[in-house]
Amino acid sequence: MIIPVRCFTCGKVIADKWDEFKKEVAKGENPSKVLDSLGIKRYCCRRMFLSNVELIEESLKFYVRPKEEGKT
Amino acid sequence: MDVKVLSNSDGQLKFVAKDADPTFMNAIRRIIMAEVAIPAIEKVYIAENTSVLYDDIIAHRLGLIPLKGGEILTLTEKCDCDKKGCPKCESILTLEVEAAEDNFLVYSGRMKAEGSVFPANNNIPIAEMNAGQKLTLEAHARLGLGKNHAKWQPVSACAVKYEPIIEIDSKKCDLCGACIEECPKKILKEKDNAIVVTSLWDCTLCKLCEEACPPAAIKISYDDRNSVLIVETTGSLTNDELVLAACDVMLQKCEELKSSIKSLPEAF
Amino acid sequence: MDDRWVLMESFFKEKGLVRQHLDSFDDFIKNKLQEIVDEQGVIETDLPGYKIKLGKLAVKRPTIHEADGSEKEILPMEARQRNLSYASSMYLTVAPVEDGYEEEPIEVYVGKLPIMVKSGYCILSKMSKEELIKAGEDPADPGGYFIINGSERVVVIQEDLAVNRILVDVMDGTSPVTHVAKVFSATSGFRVPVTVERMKGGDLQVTFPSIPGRISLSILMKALGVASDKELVEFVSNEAEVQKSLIPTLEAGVDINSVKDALDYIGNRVAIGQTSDFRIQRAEQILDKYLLPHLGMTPNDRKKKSLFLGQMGEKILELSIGRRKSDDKDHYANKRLKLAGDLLASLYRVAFKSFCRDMKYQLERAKSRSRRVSIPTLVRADVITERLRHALATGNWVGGKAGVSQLLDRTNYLSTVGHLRRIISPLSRSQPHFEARDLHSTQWGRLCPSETPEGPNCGLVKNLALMAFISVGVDEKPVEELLYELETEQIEGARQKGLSGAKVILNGRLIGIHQKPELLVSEMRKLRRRGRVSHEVNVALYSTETINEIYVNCDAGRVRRPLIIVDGGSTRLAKEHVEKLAAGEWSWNDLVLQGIVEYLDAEEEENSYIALNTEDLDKERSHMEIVPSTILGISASMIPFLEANQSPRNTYGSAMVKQSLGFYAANFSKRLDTRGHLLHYPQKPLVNTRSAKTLELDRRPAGQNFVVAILSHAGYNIEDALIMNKSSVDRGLARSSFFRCYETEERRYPGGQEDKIETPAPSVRGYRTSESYRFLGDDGMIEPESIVGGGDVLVGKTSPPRFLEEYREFESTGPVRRETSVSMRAGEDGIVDLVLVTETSDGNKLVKIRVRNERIPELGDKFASRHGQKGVIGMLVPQYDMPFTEDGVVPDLIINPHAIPSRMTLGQLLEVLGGKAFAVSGKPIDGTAFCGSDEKTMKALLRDAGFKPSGKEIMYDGRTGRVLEAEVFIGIAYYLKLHHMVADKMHARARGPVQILTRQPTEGRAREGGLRFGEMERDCLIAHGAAMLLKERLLDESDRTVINICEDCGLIAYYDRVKDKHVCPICGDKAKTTRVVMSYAFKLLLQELMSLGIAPRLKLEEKV
Repeated sequence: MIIPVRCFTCGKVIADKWDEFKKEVAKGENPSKVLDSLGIKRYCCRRMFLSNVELIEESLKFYVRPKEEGKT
Repeated sequence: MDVKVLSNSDGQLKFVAKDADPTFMNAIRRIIMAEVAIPAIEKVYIAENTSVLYDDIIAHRLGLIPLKGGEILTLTEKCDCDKKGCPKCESILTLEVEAAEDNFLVYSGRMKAEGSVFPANNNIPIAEMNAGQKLTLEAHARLGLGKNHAKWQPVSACAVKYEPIIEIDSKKCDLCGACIEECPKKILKEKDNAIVVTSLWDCTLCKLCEEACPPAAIKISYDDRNSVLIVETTGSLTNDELVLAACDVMLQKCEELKSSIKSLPEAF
Repeated sequence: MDDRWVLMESFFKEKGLVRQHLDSFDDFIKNKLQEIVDEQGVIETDLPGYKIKLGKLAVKRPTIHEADGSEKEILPMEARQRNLSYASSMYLTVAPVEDGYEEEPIEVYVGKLPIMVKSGYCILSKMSKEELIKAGEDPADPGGYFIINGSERVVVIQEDLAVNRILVDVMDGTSPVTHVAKVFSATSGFRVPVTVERMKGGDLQVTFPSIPGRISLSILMKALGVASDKELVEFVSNEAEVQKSLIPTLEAGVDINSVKDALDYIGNRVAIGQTSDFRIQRAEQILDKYLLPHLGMTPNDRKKKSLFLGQMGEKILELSIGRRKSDDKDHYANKRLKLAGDLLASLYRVAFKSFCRDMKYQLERAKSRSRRVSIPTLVRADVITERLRHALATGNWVGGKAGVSQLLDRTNYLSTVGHLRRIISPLSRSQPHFEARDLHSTQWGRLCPSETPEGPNCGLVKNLALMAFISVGVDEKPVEELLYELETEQIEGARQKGLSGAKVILNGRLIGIHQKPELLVSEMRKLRRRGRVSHEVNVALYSTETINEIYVNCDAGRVRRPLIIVDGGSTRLAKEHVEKLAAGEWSWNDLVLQGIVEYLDAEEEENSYIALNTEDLDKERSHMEIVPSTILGISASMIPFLEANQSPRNTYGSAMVKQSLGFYAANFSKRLDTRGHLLHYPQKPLVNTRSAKTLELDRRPAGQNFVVAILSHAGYNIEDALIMNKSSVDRGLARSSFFRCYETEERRYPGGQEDKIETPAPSVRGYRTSESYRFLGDDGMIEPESIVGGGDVLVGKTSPPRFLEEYREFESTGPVRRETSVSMRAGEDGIVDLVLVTETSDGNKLVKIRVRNERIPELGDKFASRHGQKGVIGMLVPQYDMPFTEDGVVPDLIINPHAIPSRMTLGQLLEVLGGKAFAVSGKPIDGTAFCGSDEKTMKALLRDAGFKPSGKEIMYDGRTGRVLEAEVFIGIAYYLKLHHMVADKMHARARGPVQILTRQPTEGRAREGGLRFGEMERDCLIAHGAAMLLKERLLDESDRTVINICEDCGLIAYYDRVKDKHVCPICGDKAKTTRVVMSYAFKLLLQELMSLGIAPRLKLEEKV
């Protein structure tokens, strides 16, 4: 869905670093290097980034604004 | 007990305590994780939520946001409001957003602190919304203990590690360098015709060097009287504050024990 | 290797995962539908000179007929939400013919045809991704199913023995028959078996339905017009040895020497005691209609039939003299798959026949009343509509097959796609059928070797392999002509000339002899690769010392698989082709057209020698695999390092990935499935397979990456239990939402009565407590986001009384309405997520309510890895008690070491190692079967990152802080949350409902039932001598009743309320009765016996 607030396993806050990670990786940066630079060292936290899928963006598209729906 | 700080960087505090039993260090570790009170959002009143994330998910995400400024609150369990929540033990944060554009991220920084408690980190996305979606809520933060829910755990990683002992028998060693190659942490080096350890505390006790050494010149063991404690907070308290608070909790527990033993009848 | 993956990717880009269904359905509408109409051609009536000519059948866009009579186009999502069927109107052009004068043709509406989602006739098939989203559709949805009354139904692929092919077999010694040759002759709608048997005496006998008993082959062939024994022998074979063994057969028919005699002989069997002319006529009719109908049904086809019988004779004789072996029924060349299109065609044929019958009846009735009839008003369109709808909705197909259409599995995306590629075999589940269940070598690349259920369906329910493709079928006429062009001698001529060579068999029928078989086969293949012949034509040469046959197939339903063509040790696939594919200049189809890739069926594959990889290429090889791991099906493709596992584990693993919770559809917020699950934070697997990536399963994941340690911890993971980190669970690990939909409709009844959605008034019969209705608004419906529990009413509804008599007694108060509200299931709770108010096609108000329930992992929830390693949570341990590494890493999950050695799931160990290596290094680890990452690579990555390459780490006990003396294997593995959760199963009862009939407690959780105190438990109490407890459990706490028994006659007495006395029906009220305690079920038995005319008397004695 959306990036979890914390690493499931250790509890480190990771959600704040997702934007940066996504941006850098989209630029073609090596994900491992980005994670190192963001200070994500433990493999439990790293897997949170490496395996996240932004599914919320896919379901968001199905949101219909109330203006378009109901008022007919 | 001899304490020395090894490092205090990247949000991690590492310190060695020599002549401290590992079980004692573990007691501190466990108190840090489970018994130091920090604030976290406990109740969320959602007025409007038209985002795709359900109320449950949003409330859960809010709960995991580390908060600061809980020092003046009291633990709800110990508060005189009978666990109902009152201004003394609760602090309110509000959030009111309407997305103006598509793929709009609501960050924790958008939360308005009505009381003393505020998010320790302003860049945590709470939800992603499309234009027109709304999220209005009131969140009540309370102090709590890590043993009750992981959101009140003030640290992410917290670990105790024994002091490694690397013994190199220079008589047996033929300087083949196999151990240098083998060590994943790269802490062995050849210097002046001898194998030396560059950073002892990095040794993970993996014993690969031991296995790789044909003449069995290298021996790995540990000294459990000396151990290092690694603390990494989530942002509510700083590392130092946290360790001190943990010590306070421990002392308080000891005081309680002491006083209750004292109050026992003399016959004991 | 990468080049070949490009091929595979382009294959899926072009075909998708359910192309077979879509193609088959499109073919059904485009061709088969019209064929079925043309088969009928005209509707003859009993009215003299009046008939109806049937013309073109047109299928329009999917629509519904609204209650106000308007017809409106609909999209699948509307159909799902409003419980409608996604179907198109069909219009048939008909022209009445009266006394030879044909009237102006008119178009009449004949019914609705359910449309397969995303087929050519579905509106969605032409939409772009954005348009699909606007239509409320998940762009990743594969389609290939139907929407009937709002529910998604799949027509599952059916496996069948190939029709029109002769299969010979040896019989066991006890039977009077030594060998049999059997063929199922099938043509549109018909399926008739014909068997030729070789008796112990050596003569050949034929059996086929509609003629009782066996008929000698020679007589039958003579009846079909074979003039002489010489011709008969020629029709069978021109091998001397075979001809010799035909002698007993010829002797059997020695008395019958003309066509007429033969026909009369047959006629005697079916029309005994009739006139000779009639007998002959009947015999001719039967031969034309019921003998080998696939060769034609007119007198002109008799020659073909006698040739075919001759072919059967030859094959069976060859078998009997050891020139050939018996056919393998399980060889996949002898199997055909029936897809949605074929199955719908057989259904439609029956529906259309009854439609025509109905129309004939209506015409005759109308015509007898008035002179002019208007055809559109006579047509009863719902005959076809209902027939199709009913079969699809229930799965009961024509021919008594059940379970043909099934409810589409929407547990997760993978289970949906997997369901659309399932194949069921009609063999009965009760019989063993060991050979049919076994994996056959010809299934390589066609069916998944791993994915099959356990238990009674094992090996009978199969799944298509990734690149398997099913032939749609091409017309055999041009192929036959081409074969003659290529110097195939027509069979009759060849036999007369006594030519020897290879028999050319087209779709099971012997059409000729070719003298240079190798040449013909290579010529055919050359033409196919050049695109001169359809790529669907497969040619195979079967030659042994004694047999020389060329099989040419172009029929539908063969499972074929694409392979790269190899010439002289090198593949035809060049670098530039791959580049063109990658650049998008070429598509998959271009490869087929260019003759780089070709599809082989199981028959032709027998002639090939296939290299697995480029290293194996040599002069001998004819083909190369595209990707070896495509021999697997979809579920098995999810398993990383599958080749390292013990094979049954992969079977268990493929079954379990279909039960895991994940992100089943992007449009979940719009869907109202009766039950649905959604994992809150699904992740893509760290260690994944390339096949899964190609299929874009990453976009619809169904699991999470857990940090797994293999360790014993406090013993709470013994016997496959799992220890989970409670703090991880607190942070959202494996959290999911469960949805359940409730629905109700405001129905109208005959007589103007109707349901009403409202908060019921207390006077309504069956009124619950006012508290149950507390959430209902003024409209009688619940508000969204209300927190509801078991028994709470979601929609208040009242219905008119069931019987009219019911309210006659209450004349003054008016009719008493019944309470028919929809309430939450007992024991379930949740939050109202969505309230949808809409209208059915009948114009009734329809309310659907979705209730959501957050599911946080708890003790007893089931989890599994992808390697068939399942377990339930045995303990939740907080992070501070968990063992930790020196970095502070704790496991999310602790599995017991005993789970590994006996099961040998080494794939899981590799996955854990690979997951860890990927996480620390950021370098992807590929787990694709047969070509995944090397263990060495993973180890090197771990070492570079400062970890022990074995994946083991020193850990410290979180409870004591002491080091664990053993090193612990820890890493990351993908775990699945399976949909068996404690919250759905937990059940206990103190008091509760009882059955009306027996007054014993009800059974099952759904009915709030009791827990059975079974016979073994009973035995236990008997053994302990705990008589009182036994009586309490079995009687007092179950169905104890007190009955008065007449002391004189021992029968049950009844209570007379007026006299306030128990009266024996036989001895009258003077008789003394005694109260007897008994089980109500026993009382019931007594009364049932009485109803049978037996008087069960109880002899009463004083209790001592």
